[in-house]
Amino acid sequence: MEYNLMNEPWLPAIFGDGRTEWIRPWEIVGDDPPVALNPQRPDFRAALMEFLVGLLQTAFAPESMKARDELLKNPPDRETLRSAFTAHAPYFNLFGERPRFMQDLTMSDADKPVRNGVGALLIEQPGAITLRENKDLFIKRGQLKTLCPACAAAALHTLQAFAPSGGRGNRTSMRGGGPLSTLAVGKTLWESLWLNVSPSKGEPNFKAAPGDDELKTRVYPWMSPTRTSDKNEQVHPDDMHPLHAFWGMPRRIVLRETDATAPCDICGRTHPVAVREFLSRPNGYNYGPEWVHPLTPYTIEEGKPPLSIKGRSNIEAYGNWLGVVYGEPDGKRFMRPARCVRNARRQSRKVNVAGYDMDNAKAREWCEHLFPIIPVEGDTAAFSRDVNNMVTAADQVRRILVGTLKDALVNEAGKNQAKIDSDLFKNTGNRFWSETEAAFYECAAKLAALPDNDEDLAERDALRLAWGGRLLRAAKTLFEDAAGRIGIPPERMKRYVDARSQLIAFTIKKLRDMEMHPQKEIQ
Amino acid sequence: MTLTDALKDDGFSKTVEAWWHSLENDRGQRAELRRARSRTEAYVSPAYRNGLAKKLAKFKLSEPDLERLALAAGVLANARTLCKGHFAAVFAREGKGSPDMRDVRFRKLLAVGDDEYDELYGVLVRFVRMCDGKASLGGLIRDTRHWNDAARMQWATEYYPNRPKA
Repeated sequence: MEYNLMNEPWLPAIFGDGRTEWIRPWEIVGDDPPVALNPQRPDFRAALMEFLVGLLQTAFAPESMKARDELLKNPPDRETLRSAFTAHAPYFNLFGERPRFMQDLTMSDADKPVRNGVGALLIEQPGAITLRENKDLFIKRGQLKTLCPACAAAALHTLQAFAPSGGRGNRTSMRGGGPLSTLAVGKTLWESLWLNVSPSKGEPNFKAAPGDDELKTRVYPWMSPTRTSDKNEQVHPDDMHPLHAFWGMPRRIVLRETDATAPCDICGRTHPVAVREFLSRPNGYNYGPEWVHPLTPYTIEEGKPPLSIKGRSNIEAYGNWLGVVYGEPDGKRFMRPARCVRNARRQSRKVNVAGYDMDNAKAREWCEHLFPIIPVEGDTAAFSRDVNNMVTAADQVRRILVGTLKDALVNEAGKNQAKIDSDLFKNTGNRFWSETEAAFYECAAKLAALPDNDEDLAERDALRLAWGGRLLRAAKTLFEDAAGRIGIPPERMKRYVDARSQLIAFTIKKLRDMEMHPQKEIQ
Repeated sequence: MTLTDALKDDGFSKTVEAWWHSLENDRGQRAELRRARSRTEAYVSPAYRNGLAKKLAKFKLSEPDLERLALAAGVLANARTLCKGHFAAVFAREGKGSPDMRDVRFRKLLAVGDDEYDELYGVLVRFVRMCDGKASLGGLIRDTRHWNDAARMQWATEYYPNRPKA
């Protein structure tokens, strides 16, 4: 059975009139271009977007930023894309003779591979241990038995791109388990993809269109025998081509295709071929810590390898916005945006961030959020410093708020046992972020609109004070709400009043230190 | 006009103060108000109707508001000196006994149940005595209109920071 990902219509795309159609990779452009991908699952969407960005980067990279910007508004025609992509068709067979896309080249019966139900391809599905211990409480086993080739390909790529840790020798993706994928968003599918493609000249060098040899040995890992890691051997960026970042293959997997007896359990379509199980072996590519994926932000720390940002439940908090979009100010430890976002800041107004919040092999949550990009008029470094201060101040005030709330509500004896993250405190902390979010973006937008000169100093001061005032107000309201709404017995009233005046005093002091509260008049 | 709106009017508290000073020359009215043992008694007393209620006629307060205001009238009739600041702060500074004793008494005030105005009246009159006849308009009307958690919190916020450090 032939199923080639360059020739089959396997990508669900949504069009301007709202209809969904399955398209071939080169059909992302055309007279009536799709506006976005629209698979059944959000993790598929993130992974398929990365697939297409990687494909464009590998097979159709622009030489310079100028060349990229020209193609952004004037997309290539289908024929151009088709010839660029079909040149790579031999590397994208899903079934048939190996090599096959994202599947191990040499695994044979002699390796004693493990047979898995196809559900195990999906990150949130219960793993072997959960099944053995009968712990599949929320996501039950056996709901996914049959996948059509399109969904199987999407699931396979999703797993390889976001692979979580999970048992000995089950390697994580090169960005760790459940990495955060950040992609700049445009008006059409083409824009949303092309914005994230980097020019082939530049650092690190993606070198457009590597030759066949290089593609086979250093870009597409499934074209060569897997570099196994039975003894924890690592694969470093120097061993591979930079483009390999898009095609990481931490898991050794071979899909088993059979005749279909039921429709696909994900998309519901019928296809003559189905995937019901796959073979796997541990100890696939074990990526060293030096890899920097172009679509993911990293924390940079002096003397340490870069650390990728992972999906996490509070990813939409505005505290992450600066790091994801502009980068935190250089320092001992700071967040640097993904390369694709840095390259797209001028033309795009939004960044979509998405990723699994993983607890080892257990998926806690799929997190996705759309961050705005505000064009910065003046110096980005100064802007980033100011915004960073705003976030720091907010975080400090939140801490004071939660701390004094604890003083107000927990008696002396229980104070040490009360965890600061127990529900009430945590919820109040979270509400503090959401309460101040609108004001934050408003303030940041005003900051971004300021040019750099001496005249705007007064305005910057005013914005800082406004922000400080907002924080103080939010802290007071939330404090009264959390501590006062249940009624306070007379014997606890004193603690409440003391805690409240501490909240105000500490907050004002902190804000004064950051020049976000009017300084005391000097008599 | 509602009591809440009237309180925002500068003239309102001036009128109340003027009425309190006038008690000096109207011992009969004062004695009658002092005899009231509850807000209700103060409210229905002729002294209140012909005194403060009449003086505030131009604010056209409704009967429920006049009833609320009667508490302040009765408490003030027991005062010999009018101080500045919140009543709770005055009590924190001037109350008789050790600070710890004052805390206990203050908690009695906080323990008055929601909308138990007659009990509240008694506690506040005792506060005036414990302060050697000192009282204050601050908060006395505003924070007794509706006796609930918000009011208690107001009193506490004024009381605790103002008590002398033992």
